[in-house]
Amino acid sequence: MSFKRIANQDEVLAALDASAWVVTPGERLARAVRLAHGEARQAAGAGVWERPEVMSYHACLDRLYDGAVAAALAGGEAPPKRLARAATEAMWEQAIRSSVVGEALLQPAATAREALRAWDLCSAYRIDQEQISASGEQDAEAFAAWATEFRSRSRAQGALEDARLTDWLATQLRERRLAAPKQAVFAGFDELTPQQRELTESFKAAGSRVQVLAPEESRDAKAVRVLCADPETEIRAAASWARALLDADPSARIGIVVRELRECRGPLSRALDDALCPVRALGATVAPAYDLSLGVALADTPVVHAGLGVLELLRRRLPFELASLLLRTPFLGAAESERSGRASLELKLRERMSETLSLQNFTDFAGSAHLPRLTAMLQGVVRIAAEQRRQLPSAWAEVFRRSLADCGWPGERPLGSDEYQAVTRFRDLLGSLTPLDAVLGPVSLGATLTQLRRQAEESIFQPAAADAPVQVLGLLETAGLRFDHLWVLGLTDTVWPESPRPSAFLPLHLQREHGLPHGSAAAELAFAQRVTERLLQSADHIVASTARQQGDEALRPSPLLIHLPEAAPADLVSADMQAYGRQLQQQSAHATERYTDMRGPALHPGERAEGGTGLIRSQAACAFQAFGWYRLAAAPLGEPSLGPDAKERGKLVHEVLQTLWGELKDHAALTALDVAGRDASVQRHVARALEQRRKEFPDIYTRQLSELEQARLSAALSAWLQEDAARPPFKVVEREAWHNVKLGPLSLETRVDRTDELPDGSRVIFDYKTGEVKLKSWLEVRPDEPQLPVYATAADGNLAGLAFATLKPGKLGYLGLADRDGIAEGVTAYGSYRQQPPGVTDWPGLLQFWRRSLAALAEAYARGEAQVAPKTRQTCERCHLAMLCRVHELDADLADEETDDDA
Amino acid sequence: MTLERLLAEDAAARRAALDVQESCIVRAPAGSGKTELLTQRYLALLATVDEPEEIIAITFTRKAAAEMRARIVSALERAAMPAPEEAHKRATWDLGRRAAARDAERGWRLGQHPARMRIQTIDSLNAELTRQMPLLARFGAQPRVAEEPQTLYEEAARRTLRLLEEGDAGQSQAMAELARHLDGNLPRIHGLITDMLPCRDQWLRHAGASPERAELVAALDREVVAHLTRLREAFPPRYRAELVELAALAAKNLRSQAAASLITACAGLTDLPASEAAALPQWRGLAELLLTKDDKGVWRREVNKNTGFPPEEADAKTRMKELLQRFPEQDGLLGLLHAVRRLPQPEYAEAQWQVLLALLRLLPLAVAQLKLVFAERGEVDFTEVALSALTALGEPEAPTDLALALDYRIRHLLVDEFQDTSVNQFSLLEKLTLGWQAGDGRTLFLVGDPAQSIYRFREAEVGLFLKAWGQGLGGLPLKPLTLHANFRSQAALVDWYNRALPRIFPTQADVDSGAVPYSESAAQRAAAGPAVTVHPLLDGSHGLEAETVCRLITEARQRDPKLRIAVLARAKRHLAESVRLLRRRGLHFQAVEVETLAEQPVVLDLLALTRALNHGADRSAWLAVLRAPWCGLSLESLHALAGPAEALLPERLRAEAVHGDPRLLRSREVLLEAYDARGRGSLRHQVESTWLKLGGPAALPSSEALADAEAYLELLEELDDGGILTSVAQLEQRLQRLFARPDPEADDSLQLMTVHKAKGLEFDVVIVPGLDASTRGRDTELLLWLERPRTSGETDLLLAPLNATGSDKDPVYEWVASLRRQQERLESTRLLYVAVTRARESLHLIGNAHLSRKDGETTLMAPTSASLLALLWPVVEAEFREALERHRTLDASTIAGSAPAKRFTRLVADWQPPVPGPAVMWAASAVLAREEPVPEFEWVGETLRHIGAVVHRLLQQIAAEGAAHWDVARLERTEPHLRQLLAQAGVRQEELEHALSDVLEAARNALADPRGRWLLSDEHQQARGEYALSAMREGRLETGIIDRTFVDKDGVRWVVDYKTSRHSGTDLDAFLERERLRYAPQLERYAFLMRGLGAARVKVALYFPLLQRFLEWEPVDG
Ligand code: SF4
Repeated sequence: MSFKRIANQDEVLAALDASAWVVTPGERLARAVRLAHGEARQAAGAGVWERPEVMSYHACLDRLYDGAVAAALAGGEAPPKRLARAATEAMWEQAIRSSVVGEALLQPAATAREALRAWDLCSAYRIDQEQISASGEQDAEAFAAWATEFRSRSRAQGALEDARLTDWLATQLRERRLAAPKQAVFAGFDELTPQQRELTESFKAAGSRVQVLAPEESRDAKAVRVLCADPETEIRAAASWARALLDADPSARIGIVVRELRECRGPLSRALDDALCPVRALGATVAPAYDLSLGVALADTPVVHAGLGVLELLRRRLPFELASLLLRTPFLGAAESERSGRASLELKLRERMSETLSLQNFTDFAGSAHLPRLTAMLQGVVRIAAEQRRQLPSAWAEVFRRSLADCGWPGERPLGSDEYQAVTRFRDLLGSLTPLDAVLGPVSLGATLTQLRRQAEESIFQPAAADAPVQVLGLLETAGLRFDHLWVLGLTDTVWPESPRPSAFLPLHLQREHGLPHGSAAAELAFAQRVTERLLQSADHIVASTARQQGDEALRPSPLLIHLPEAAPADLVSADMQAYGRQLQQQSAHATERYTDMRGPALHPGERAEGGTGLIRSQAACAFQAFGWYRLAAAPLGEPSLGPDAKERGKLVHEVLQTLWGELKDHAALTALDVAGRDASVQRHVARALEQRRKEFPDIYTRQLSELEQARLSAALSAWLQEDAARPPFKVVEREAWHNVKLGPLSLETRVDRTDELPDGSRVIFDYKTGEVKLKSWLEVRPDEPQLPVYATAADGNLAGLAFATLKPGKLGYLGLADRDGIAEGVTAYGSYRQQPPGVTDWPGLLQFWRRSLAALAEAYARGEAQVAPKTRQTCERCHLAMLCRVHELDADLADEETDDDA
Repeated sequence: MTLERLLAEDAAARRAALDVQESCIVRAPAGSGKTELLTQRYLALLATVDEPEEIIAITFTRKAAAEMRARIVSALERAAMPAPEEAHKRATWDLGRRAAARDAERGWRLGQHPARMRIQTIDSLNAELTRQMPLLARFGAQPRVAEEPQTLYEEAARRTLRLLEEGDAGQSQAMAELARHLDGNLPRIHGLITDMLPCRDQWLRHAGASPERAELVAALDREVVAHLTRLREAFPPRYRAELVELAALAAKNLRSQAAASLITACAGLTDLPASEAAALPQWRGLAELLLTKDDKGVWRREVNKNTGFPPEEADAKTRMKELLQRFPEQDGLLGLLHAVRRLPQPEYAEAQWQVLLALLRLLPLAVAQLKLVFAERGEVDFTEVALSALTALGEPEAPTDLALALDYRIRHLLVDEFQDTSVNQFSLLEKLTLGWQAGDGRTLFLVGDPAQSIYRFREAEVGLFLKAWGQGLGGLPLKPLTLHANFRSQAALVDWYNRALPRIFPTQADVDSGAVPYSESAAQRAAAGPAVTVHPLLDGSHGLEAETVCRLITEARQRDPKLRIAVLARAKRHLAESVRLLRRRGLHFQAVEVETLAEQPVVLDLLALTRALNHGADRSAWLAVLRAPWCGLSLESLHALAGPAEALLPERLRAEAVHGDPRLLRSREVLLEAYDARGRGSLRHQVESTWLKLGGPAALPSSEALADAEAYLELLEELDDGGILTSVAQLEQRLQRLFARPDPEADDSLQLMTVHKAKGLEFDVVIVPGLDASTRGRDTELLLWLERPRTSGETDLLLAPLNATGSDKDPVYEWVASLRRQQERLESTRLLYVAVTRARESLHLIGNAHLSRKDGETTLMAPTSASLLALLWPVVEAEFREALERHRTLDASTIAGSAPAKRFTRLVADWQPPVPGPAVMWAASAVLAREEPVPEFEWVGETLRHIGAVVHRLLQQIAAEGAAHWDVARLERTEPHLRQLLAQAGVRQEELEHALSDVLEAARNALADPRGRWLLSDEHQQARGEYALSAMREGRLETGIIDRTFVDKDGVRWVVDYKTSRHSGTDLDAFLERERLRYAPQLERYAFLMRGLGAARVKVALYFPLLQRFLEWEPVDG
């Protein structure tokens, strides 16, 4: 077979046939070696064969350690305990936290990871701890101190982390206490670290024949470079190129190499989907023809994300977002059967406005929403969450398993293959909390959740994939691999070679002296040169591309590639594989039509008009708004807020005033009370109303907030009663009374906040407001506040006036219009009012004006009028229907009309 | 200055700037070629240093850094080529050669490794400092920098609010105080605190240590005194006596009438009032006497009875009027006097003081909460990195030894755009240059143009430039150099700048307010045609303005199609109308961050789809999805489908009965399928694939819309949290802050952008519309602060908390706010400067003036004071007046516009999606098309799994040695090893003993049981444990691992798996049968593999050591 998957393929395969161990830097190359071996065997006619001994460096350590276990079982000495990576990190974190400097750090856990990385480097490059502490540099000294602490902690447990375990294993090999293979081949290492070199020496000492394969010398690879307009074009060019190659030769092996895979994972996979398998963009679950070596974080897979959400419930207080998530996720028990009920409950919770709610209240809400399964699940969690004590991580893991199982995670929908793999990975992750027991001891729920979440975030989840013809990999993963065609993206002059990023914890001079890969400018350049050289020999045909421009920044190709002959993109990519979306867009001229549709069905005669005066208000603001909101019932999505919002506060005021006036009844009673008596009365009613609201919305009216509201509202109302006391006598005859008003074809249920009767028997009606009010909002043909005017249209001759009663701080008092002066401060006789609508000069005229204009609105509503005709731009800013009414599609047209007006 | 003098000074400055021994500050006006100067300086420095890292160049943007780096690289490359002809290129070439020689000498290989050059933004420098000093910076590991820190601020503010409930008594009380102050409006308080957090670096200095009331009041007092002192000095001495006399007279007159006028405070005045707070009433009296009452406060033209000059005082009245006429020439006096009216008494009202105390307590708490949020998310904002870098550099008394942390000693610093430096950046530079002295081989080089400082909203303090100009930086003296040459604009433009701008700019520099006088330019390019045209609109609409913009573009292009044209405005919304009109005319243009995504129809459609798929009960979204162009239901059908308020639309769609509309049929399937598959794959994928299936893109009018859709989808990708939309509100908020993409089909020949975006750019033609528009003022802030340097050298701090909801404006707050407004006005001048100096060939200024028609007379109204036009007014008023004349005689020109009758777009009813292109064929594609069944997920006992693993390991060991070598005693000796293995596998401490006993039991059973001993004996042929076999199966490599296999004496090949199941129920056989069925396929697959290796007769078996059972059977072949 002429085709090669790996460098030095013949040598490697020969060694495998001789039962050698082949050690690779990472799992990816190991897999390629196994495949190469399999294909060779198959080509040689074999159907089945013993699995060759191919292993990543890490697996090699596993393997050696297992040998030590065998030796122990066979009667030898027990090997040291092996600290799992997470446990090692946790131990470092403890070491850091226990230091004075460590306490002040923003990110102890991430620092532990950095420090551990430095520690690994020390082992790998044989940097001595003494030298580090002697450097006089503060960071290095602190690091050395942490290292000492870490060692003593690990010693106390008789455990070794991988870095030192490697040395221990090497010693065992050297001293022939550990069996070594006859032959060991190290393949695909750009450069062995001193520690790795020592390990190879130990192999030799143990009797192995060791071979370290140097990167293969050049075959005659043809390499060119191209410049693309921007990174997006660059990616799409690479994808189209791969497609063309595969069309020409379905057995071609193609590599696409990216420096920062994490950054362009999304665009790259989309471009490849579009080029290689367009139906995938439309959501088909066909296997991709490419293998992208980087998965997503396990924590971000939807199913695990939901699982972590379930565990958050154990904290017993949940942010609204979590409640919302759990009500919508398909990954809980009965998520399908209770789908609708849960979605509806989510809407209700939004109306409850609190930004967080207690688990208990959440459970109660579920109960009252008739969601038996959800209720039962939550009750289960409530029970489990009741025992909140510090316990070992493994015990928490048990709690987590129980909670997840009780909640029916991962849901009743059958799992897809990816989901299944993610779920099992997560299950295993729970198991990996156990090794932390010994390091951390009993911990709190919060700490464990953080730990678990972090592990889930760091654990990169990649569903197992078949051997695809296009391999997408990071720069370093290419070591030892071979392709027919290779495209390298994004090596620009600022990133290749990069500016050095030495470890902050190791003295710089040591990093330079020991030649740490990124420790100095010289090392960085050497590293980039080495990798470039290797890359340029790893395929027969190589393309290195860079973008000219990213955003507004001009880019240049790396100087290490500049010697390659330049090719035009068109030479490499014959036809751009167009994304399906673009294809569709280009057809738009034939696919679309323009249409007008500004009226819905008329209201049936006798059909009830829901919404009371609100619909008139909407109709006045914008006909479509009224149609959308009231005829289509497209209500806005509430948003939880931090405390009672304006609407809720309004309700509270209404409630207080209803009972307050229910008790006081009239002006005489009010004035009979002295100030203290009035205050006391107000206090009492406010307290009662608050108590009421608090029962209903326990998560909003917290203790302190209730106290604040009590004081605030009492003060405001007392001041307001002052205004009432100053009025001429009146009697409150109605409070929050519902009336049915016939308006044109509609019959509207309206409520009047309060009706006073004056000594002459005439009446004044009031609308309580907590915000800004303006009389203008009654006096336009499209009124902003039609509530009282609507009522006024039905009033008999007895109506003496209407007024806003406003509680806005600084604006306390009345604002209204009447047939006379002297009703209250701020209520003006209409006749002398300055800003009358044209032609409406007296009180009866005003009532007539309302009858006419409001009836017109009612009629338009009943006809089903739905013009997108907002009163002002601000109307739209306050409206939630822009998606539905498509006002922005009209924007240009509206502007047209304006321009016409100018002409 | 004459042109020659200017050019001579310019040349001298450029020479001096290349003196690498000297630290300089260079004032480089627009078009003066400062990037080239910086490049030259950098090259000159390169030739002197040991390592390139010793030079740090700080640029304002990454783009500028890239440009500078590219220039240096090319200078180094060109060093190898022959000397250029042109003299100005020659200088750079020379410097390049010297730098290249140094490179070769020191072996840097910069050409190979340009990233070594430390040319970076200040943010990236800060990041580097904190990364290299993890402990001093208090970060430990370097956190990510949040692109969108707003959510972090919001979260921190939320937690701060929670202190009301959850904080200790003091915290809760402080929060309650604030809540009372602001009418208990928690959402508002949340917003106000959120807004304070991004600029915490500014107030943290002040809020940290609680200042004493007396101290703050004293500061206020000094503020008042300082103002009054300046005012007093501004009064021309020659009119003083006259003024004092007349004022006293007026006061006396008013008193005698018992009039309630402020002027009465001037009674008995014998000299100008003293410069002290006690004299404020008298000062206000003077202001009242001399200035009109209105907001603007201009000199009175008339005096009368109300101002203390009744008709009988005709003589005094005339004197007063004469006096008044002399004042207008007095620069600054008017403003100072008018300001006296707002000058506060130096005291805090009690309520204000209490809330200030509460704030000083709460704000640091909010910052503490923010740090917690940072720590939890591992994310910080740029400010935090900057603050940490400052911390890391140490205090002046105990500076950090940078050389140790940074590998290379910093010897030279170059800073570009120094005029936009913030206080913190200034201190960073001070710390970096601590101890530097003139002539010690370390230099600082600052370049900027104070007239172009326009980033106040990002905390830029132009005063810092002025300070450094005058006093140097830290202890380091800086040589001030001024450039004058303008290489950009043609002579006629430069001429206009020199004539017009001095009339707009202040004449005196002032560090406090950031006042910068204009500095003259000398044109280097010859005059080329008309330069500046003012287009006065009178009572014009936005439409007319846009029309003018379009016309100017067309005309310019007719003149020369290659011209690069820019339309620049102060705010995005000033460009909105032009964008719309240009689009309707079919002109392609790049609108750089002008239109928000939130208003693009395609984005709203996608938003509806996103919301719908994420929420079955979101009726608005579902209805919008059905109304969107891909479906385009009529209102009639929509109404029929909608159902009652509590109905869920996906369920209505599912119910067959309700839909007959063919449009619905096309979308229904796709929507339901997508809804049922929610939570599969990323959020973006769910939405995008559904959108494609619905045919969404087919209804888009342009590729621009497609680009907007892409921008939206990218946002979804960013906000994706587990494949579900977490917060609709957050998504909508982000859309407001994101911008439509530039038209992919447009080149850069026509660009629309804000002036801020145009900084550093140049265009042939610049059109500036919207000069008359005023910007929205800043919203109220929780706490206003202002530092006021005093002549004593100290800095006073003015602090003013927001006044209580519903109460009158607090004078202290208003005063500080007015000082800030003054700074803003000065910044507007600079903004105007930046706008007009972008032009190479010609400049068009478009402004609209309102007309007032009174008594048949049409007059021009002065532009609103917050507009750019107001600033320009002295320069352009004449043109507006002329226009007014023309206006009286001319009709408005007619503008054609066509209003399409049809309003909405949708796919035609019978539209069918095209079939997507075929997938590529490859080796395994056919195989993979088959879907493998997915098993059901089960929770297995963790410990059981681990026990199984250890039993396997142990049995393998026993088998490897041969059962004969093992007995119970030996087994017991391995106990410690087994315990360790179990623990390492993950068995919990409390289950360890029981697990161990299980393992031992299994092994004991195996050793006791003859079947087990046989299995584990070493008598067999070809015995292997954990035997791994591979085969290729349909292109895939497949591996099976067999627990135990051997050939027995009869030549039978055994394939055995160990199972550590237990069974507590009664019917053991039934259980075993189930197990057999469960594992049979796997074992038979192994058997198949074994046969492949040549085994003739194969038997498979399951061995249950804990149950002491052995199940064997002979699988059928194949
Ligand atoms: S968004 Fe504007 S146009 Fe649309 S319904 Fe609401 S108010 Fe009317």
